[in-house]
Amino acid sequence: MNLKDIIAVLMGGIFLSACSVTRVVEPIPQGKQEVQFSFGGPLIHLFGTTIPTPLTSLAYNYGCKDNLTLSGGLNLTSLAFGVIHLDLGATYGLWQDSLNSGYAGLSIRPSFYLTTDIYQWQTRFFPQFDVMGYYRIKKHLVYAGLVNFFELKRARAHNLPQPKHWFWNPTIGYQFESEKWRWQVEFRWLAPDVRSDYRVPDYVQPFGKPNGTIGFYIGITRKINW
Amino acid sequence: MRKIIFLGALIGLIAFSCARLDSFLFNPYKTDEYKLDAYDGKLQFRLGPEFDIPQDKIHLFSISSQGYKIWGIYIGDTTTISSDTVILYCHGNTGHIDYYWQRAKLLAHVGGKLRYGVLIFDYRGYGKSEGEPSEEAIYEDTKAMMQWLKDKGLTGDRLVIYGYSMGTAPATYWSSHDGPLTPRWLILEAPFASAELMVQDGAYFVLPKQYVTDLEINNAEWIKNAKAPLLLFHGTEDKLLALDPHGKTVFDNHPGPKQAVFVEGATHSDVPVILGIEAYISEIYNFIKSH
Repeated sequence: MNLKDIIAVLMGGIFLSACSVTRVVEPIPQGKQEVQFSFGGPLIHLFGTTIPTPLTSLAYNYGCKDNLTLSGGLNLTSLAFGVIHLDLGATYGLWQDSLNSGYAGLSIRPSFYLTTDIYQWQTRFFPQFDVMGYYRIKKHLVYAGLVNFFELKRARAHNLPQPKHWFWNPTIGYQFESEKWRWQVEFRWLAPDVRSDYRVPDYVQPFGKPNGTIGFYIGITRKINW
Repeated sequence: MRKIIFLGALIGLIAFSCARLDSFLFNPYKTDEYKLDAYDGKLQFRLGPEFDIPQDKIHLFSISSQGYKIWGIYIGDTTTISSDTVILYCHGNTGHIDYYWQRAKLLAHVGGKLRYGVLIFDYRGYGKSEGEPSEEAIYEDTKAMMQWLKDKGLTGDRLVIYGYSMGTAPATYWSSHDGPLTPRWLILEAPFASAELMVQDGAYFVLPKQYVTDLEINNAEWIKNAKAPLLLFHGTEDKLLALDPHGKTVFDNHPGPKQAVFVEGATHSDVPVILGIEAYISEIYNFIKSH
């Protein structure tokens, strides 16, 4: 294992906008609760193969209203490295209407990440805003949208200008619903307008071009009081 | 009960959340015996017989660094170190002396065969050297080698310190901090600016380095206090440590005098080859002669 491989793991582990599936695509009914486990992250070349960065997180979702779900998550992988990494957000159903034998909807999700380490307690705040369109037929839901992640700091180390503040990430996904569980897979094209070569981590280059990288995620959600 | 187990697991995770990747960042290769030209491992380049070093000019030795036996090879005549100019070569993270032997031989041909003495050594945990690698170890082991040179009569005004990749950290450190000798010349090849910028460049975001590493490497800040003139090599196609921001930040922060050779098409490990062996040697020789 060389330096590049090692750093690929640790860098992938902190690619914040890529740390979990979309927590809530379609708001859950009022009063309902669920717990979600998410696994996955940016795809990296490692050990001679391609794997998703093994980011894991645990989240709790609560249906505040029928069209508003609050959620909070804790990134477990970050925690293992001494970084308390929380995400808090709300999914709001903007619109929903029947379409053919199912229904379509549109949701928005403002959220933020709060991170701090247990060594020097350096804390960072990152806002995020997601827009998702979805279509449901019975137990199946497909969705697509844009995950927008924002870096508010103007300067990085050595007072160098932070080159980018808005990271937009096209996303597609699929959910399968059972009575007690929801299974979710998601692909995210991470930062397609940012060059992913000339970086320490060996990110997978979509379509062979260094335009961002691809994230792959799996979500497993347990419905608590449905 | 399940809630208690879950909370216990979570608290346990927090309590033991001290995983650091620092120790894994070092990539030492051990060996029982240095093979030098007979080394059959993968190399970036092999020099022809015209670059061979006479056996009587190759001196394998060991010294103690904080109680650990570390090994080095001096190319040249150890009895004339008190009057020679010496290039101290701080190698990178991969491999050991064998891996960098061809590079050491190149340096032994700067300005002509054996014009300058060359000292190459293995940090703790690399090659035959005892112990485990760490950031402190690479500084201390470099310092120990400088002390060995000083004990042989070398003075700082005849010392060139050359750092490649990870080796740019001890080279820059000892050019900007008080040590056994103050190098008169500083040569860096494919340097990184700092652990912090490495994290931020890889993550795209302004993340504190403490999130993943305890490394304190900060060439970009240390070099502001460097007393030696700088010659910096960096490949434009370096995808491990990109010229911009790493090499350029280090170069910009050096107070001068300084010169940069940005090698078009070179990656992290092939600057001498892509630049051309003769051109590479000439750049170093001209730099030494002109400062």
